[in-house]
Amino acid sequence: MTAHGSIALIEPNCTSCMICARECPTWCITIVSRTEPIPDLPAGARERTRNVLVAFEIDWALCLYCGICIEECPFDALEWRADPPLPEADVAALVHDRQRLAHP
Amino acid sequence: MTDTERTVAPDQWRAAASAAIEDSYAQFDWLGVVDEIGRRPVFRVVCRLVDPADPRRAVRLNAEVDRDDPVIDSLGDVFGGATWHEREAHDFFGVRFGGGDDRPLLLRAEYTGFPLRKDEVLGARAARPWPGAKEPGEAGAAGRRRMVPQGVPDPEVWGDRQGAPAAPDEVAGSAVGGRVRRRR
Repeated sequence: MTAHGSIALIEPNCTSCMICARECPTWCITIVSRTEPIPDLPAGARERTRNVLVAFEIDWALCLYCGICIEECPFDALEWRADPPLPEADVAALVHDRQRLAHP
Repeated sequence: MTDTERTVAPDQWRAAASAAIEDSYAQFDWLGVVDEIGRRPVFRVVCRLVDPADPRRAVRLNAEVDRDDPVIDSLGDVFGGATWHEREAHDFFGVRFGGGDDRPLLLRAEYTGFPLRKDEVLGARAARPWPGAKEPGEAGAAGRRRMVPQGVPDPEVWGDRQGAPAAPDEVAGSAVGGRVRRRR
């Protein structure tokens, strides 16, 4: 049996594209995002929008550490970290938000 | 080295295994089943045998059995270890092995259905909201462009369907995940 680490979010790379959430076999990734207009466009340019990440959560109670999300992410916004998530007394505490995923 | 492939008729299954032993493929590796629905209405039973003197030499025996009545001879008296794989194949695909052991191995005895058949709907996934259903930028519930997770068919095929149930190949073809296709 190979030891596993945990999965970390590199937030600047995330485009909220939903690919990891769709590929996850255990449905442990939840993403909330919104669109907002891109500011500071040149004068006369057509208004364009971008996705802004609002929430990114991994439920370690469901994750099976398969790494498919890391493999599938086209923007390298997910990566392995050496240390596995710590155990918790309450199962709800195994849901880690974007701050904890960025700095495990 | 790639495995040698041999396709045999289901009634030649045991004879093919014995013939492979004669060809020095005397070690049983594994036995599995592939659901070929969408291509042909069959289950393909695959058995891999290895040459114990040179493990790089291996043969895969393939036999196709009718999806509606999947029966093939057991290899249990040729390779004792095959029985485990046959019971697993019976659990997951409902393939029956004549002269073998069809007791449940990995599933509960009360379990109904064959979970690895491609037309088997993952009902628990249909009942639970899928985190991947949303589009990027959508904060709340999924919008009008609907996505379904793998294992759950298009609701028009299974779930919201009126009238007679859809054919197994339509259910299987619709349960591959992704965008719900526009129907005529």
